[in-house]
Amino acid sequence: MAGKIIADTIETGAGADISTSYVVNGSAKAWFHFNGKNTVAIKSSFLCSSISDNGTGNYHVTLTNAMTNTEQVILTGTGQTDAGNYPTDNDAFVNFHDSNEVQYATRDSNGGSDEDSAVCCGAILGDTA
Amino acid sequence: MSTVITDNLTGKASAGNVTITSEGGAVTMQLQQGLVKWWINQDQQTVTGQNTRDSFNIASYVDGGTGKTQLNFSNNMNNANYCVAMGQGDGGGFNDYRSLNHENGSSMTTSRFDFYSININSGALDDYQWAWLQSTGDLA
Repeated sequence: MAGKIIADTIETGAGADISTSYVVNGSAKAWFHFNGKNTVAIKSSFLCSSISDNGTGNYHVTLTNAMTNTEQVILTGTGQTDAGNYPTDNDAFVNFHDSNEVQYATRDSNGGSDEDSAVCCGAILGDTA
Repeated sequence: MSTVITDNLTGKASAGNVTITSEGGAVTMQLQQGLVKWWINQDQQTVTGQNTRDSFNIASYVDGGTGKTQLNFSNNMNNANYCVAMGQGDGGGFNDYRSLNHENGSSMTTSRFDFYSININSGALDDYQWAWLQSTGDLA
């Protein structure tokens, strides 16, 4: 049988204590790292049920567990891996999001056009339903 | 109110899996997977080069020249597929378009992450006042 602790606060041996709400609310509820170039492929993820290609520089990420609302925080990071094209400048951003999905996009910052990125990262923070 | 006093949380059935209940109570999720494994707030414009304002699980950094930084982790990641989110700030107006990118001149590894900061207006590498990075993923 699994053990279970129900507590409001966690305290270290050194006496530093933190409300368990910081642990629950402060944890990322989902995150992903996928290759957005050529055939889109998940490299690693947490509580993302699927990632699909929606065209150049556009991707659709579906969350396993829906958030309680659409007010979650979505953090992004991107980049390329082709050393011969150094330095590239790509931006990752969110076109649209709902309680259970993120439409993630990358583009060439300088040229301003949609562009596939080899490194597509995102993390979602907020309240899970 | 109840308090748990401990230095370690370890799963009972599986050491690396402690489960927490969602805010809404509908689902449970693995605590370890949701935790940020490293983060850093960096100033790249000090007289002596770069400076770390604050960080977690970052052992050291290497200033690779203008706009180039290598972060070395204190505790390594389990694989090179972790998730890195980045944000940045510079200047005092509304025209300082900047971007942090994974450095395409190197590969992500379990022990380090290389990134560069670029001035979008000029297309050149540039040091920033504020570079914020954080990562989720599997620790070794």
